[in-house]
Amino acid sequence: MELRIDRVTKKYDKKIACDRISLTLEKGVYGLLGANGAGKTTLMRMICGILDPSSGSLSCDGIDVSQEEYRELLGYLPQDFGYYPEFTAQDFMMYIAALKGIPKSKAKVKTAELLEMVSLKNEAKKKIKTFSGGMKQRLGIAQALLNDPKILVLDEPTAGLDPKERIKFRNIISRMGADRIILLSTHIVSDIEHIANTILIMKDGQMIHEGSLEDIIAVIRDKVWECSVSCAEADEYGEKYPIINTRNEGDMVFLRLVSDEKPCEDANNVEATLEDLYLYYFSGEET
Amino acid sequence: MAGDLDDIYNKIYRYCFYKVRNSAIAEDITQEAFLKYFAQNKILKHGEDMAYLYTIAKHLCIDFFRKRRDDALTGDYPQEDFCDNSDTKIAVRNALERLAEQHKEILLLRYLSGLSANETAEIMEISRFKVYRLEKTALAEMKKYLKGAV
Amino acid sequence: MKRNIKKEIRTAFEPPEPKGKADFLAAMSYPKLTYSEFLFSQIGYIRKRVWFVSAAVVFAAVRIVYAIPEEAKFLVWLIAAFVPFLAMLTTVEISRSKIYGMSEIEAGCRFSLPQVTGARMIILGICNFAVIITVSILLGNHVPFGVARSALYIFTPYIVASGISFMIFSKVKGQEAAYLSAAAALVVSFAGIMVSSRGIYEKPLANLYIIAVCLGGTLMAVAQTKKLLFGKDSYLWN
Repeated sequence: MELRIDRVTKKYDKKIACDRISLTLEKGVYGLLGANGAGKTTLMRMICGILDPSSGSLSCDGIDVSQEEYRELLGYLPQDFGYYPEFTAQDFMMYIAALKGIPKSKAKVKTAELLEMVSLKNEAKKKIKTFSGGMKQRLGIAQALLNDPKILVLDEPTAGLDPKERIKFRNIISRMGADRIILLSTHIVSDIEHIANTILIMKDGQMIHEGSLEDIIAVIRDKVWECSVSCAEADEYGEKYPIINTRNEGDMVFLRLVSDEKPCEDANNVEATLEDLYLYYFSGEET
Repeated sequence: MAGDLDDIYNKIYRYCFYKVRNSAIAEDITQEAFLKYFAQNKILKHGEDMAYLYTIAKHLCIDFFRKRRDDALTGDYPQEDFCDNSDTKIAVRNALERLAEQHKEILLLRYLSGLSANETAEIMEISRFKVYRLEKTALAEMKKYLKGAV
Repeated sequence: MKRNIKKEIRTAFEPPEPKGKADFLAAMSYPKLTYSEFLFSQIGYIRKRVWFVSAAVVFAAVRIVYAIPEEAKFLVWLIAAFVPFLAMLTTVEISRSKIYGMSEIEAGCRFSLPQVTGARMIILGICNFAVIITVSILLGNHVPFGVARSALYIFTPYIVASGISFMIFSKVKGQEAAYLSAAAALVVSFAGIMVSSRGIYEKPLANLYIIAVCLGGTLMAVAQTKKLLFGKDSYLWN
C-alpha cells in the first residue's frame, strides 16, 4: 500500500497553504510537526479528500482520494468536531458506522470494542454534552477506527488529553502502526518522538524535512550548546544565534542555543533532541 | 439490513460439522462456501442469499464424501464428537438420527442452524406451509423416540 | 415442550469452536451497506419533531375540512401561513451537519457529506411533498379555485421559505443560522397572510405574480441545493 502525494499545492486567495508537496507514505506511523498555520490541517484535509488541491494529485494504489473506494480505507479525526446534541457516545458511534457503511450488527460489536479501548465503556449511554474535552477527544479517536482503516489521519489527536490518556493513546497507535498508514499532526514534540517511524516537518506550507528521528536531528547534531553568560552577553548572543532556551540563574543567564562552532570558552556541547530542532525552526513563531 | 457474517459463518459451520464431524474440515468447507459465494455476489443477506449459501455448503459436503470414497489414501480422517456428551444429549442425537431424511434436515436447519421458516423453505425447495407441516411431524416423531429412550 | 426440544437439539449438536473464523472474516471483504440501505438507516436520525409537525398539518386539515367543509378556503390560507415553518424545520434538519460541526467527520466517511445531505433531502422531500399534495387535494375539492391552485398557494410560501433558509445556512455559521431561518419563516408566513387576506386568490392577475414568486423561490432553492450537494469545502472553517 502506498499513498502518493504528488506536487500538491493549495492556494487560498492570497496565501499559499501548501506549496508543491510531494510525499510517498507507506505502512508506518508518520508524525507531522509544524507551527499553527504551517499548513498541516490543509494537507491532512487534502489527504482525506475533503479539500481539493489547487494543483497536484493524491492517490492510494491508484485510487484517487476523492473516490468512495478510498474513503472506505480512511479513518479521520478532524482537529475540531461537533456532535448532534441528542447523541450519546453509543449513538454517535452507530451513526458514524452507518455513514461508513458498516452493517448494524457488526457496528454494535465494533462500537462496544472501541469504546472499551478508549475507556468510555461506562459512559456509552451518556450524552456527549456531559463529556469533558478529553473524553470527547477519545470518542473522536474511537470513531476514526470504526471501519478498521488502512489509512488513519489524526489532526492533533492528543489535544485535550491528560498525561495518562496520552500514554494510552501512544500505545494504541504504536500497536496499530504495523499494518497501516498512520499520519498524525501535533505541535507537542514528545507525542511523536517515540511513536513515529518517520517525522515530517512543515513550515510555511513547505515540507522542510522528512526522515527518521535520527536523520532529522542530524541537521543540528553537535551544534547544540549550553552556557551561562551575563545579561549583557545574553542579549548579544540572542542577536547572533538561534536561542532554544533561556533561564535566569542569579546574575547569570543560562542559554541553550544552536551554533556551528563553540560560541564561548565555557560552552558545553550537548546532545540534540527533536525538541531542539523544533524550537530552532519555530521559536520565533506562535506554536 | 445485511446479516451479520459472523452469525452466518456459525450457522454454516454448525451444519457442515454435523455432516462431516470434523471441525477443521467443517471450517474449510464453510470458508470455501463463503469464498464461492462472494466470487459471484457482492452482498450476503439473510433470506434468499442464505439458501444459496447453504446449497453451496451442502454440495461441498457431498463432494467431500465423494472424494473420500474415490481416494482411498486420504480416506480416513479423525472424527470428533459434539461438545456435550451427557446422556440426554446422546439420546436426543440418537432420536434425531432415527428420523426420515427430510424430517432430519428440517430440524437441523430450523433448530441447529436457527433459520427462519422462509429460509428453510427456500433451501429445501418446498413451500413454507410444508415446512411447518414437516416440522410438526418431525417434532412429534422426536418426542415419541425420546419417550421410548428415557 | 416444543421450545424445550428446540433448545435440546441446538445444544445436542454443539460443535467445537471454529478456530479460523476471526482471521477469515477479517481478511474477507465485508458485505457493505448499499446506498438504499444507508438511506433507510438515515430515516431513524431525522428528529421526531419534523414527523410530528407534518402529521399535525395533515391531521388538522382532515379534521377541519370534514367538520366544516365551507371553511376549506380559510384553511388554505392557514396552511399556506404554516408551511414556511415546516420548510424551516426541514432545512434545519438537512443542514444539521454544518450547524453542529459534524461536516468534517461526515465528509471523511464512505457515504460522504453530500450523500448524507442527499439522503436527508430525499427523505424529507418525499415527506413534505406528500404533505403538501395530500392537503392540496383534500382542500382543493372544497374550494372554488380547485386543487392545482390550492397546491400553488401552499407550495409557494413553502419553497420561498426553503430557498431563503438554505441561503441563510450557506452564509451564516452555527446555531444563529437556525434562529435567523426561523425569523425568515415568520416573515414569509406573515407576508403570505397579508397577501391572502386581501383576497388576492380571487384576482386572476395576482396568480401570475404568485407563479412568478413560486418560480423564483424554486430557482433559489434549487441553486442552494446544488451548492449544498456539489460545492466542496464551503463548510470548512479556516
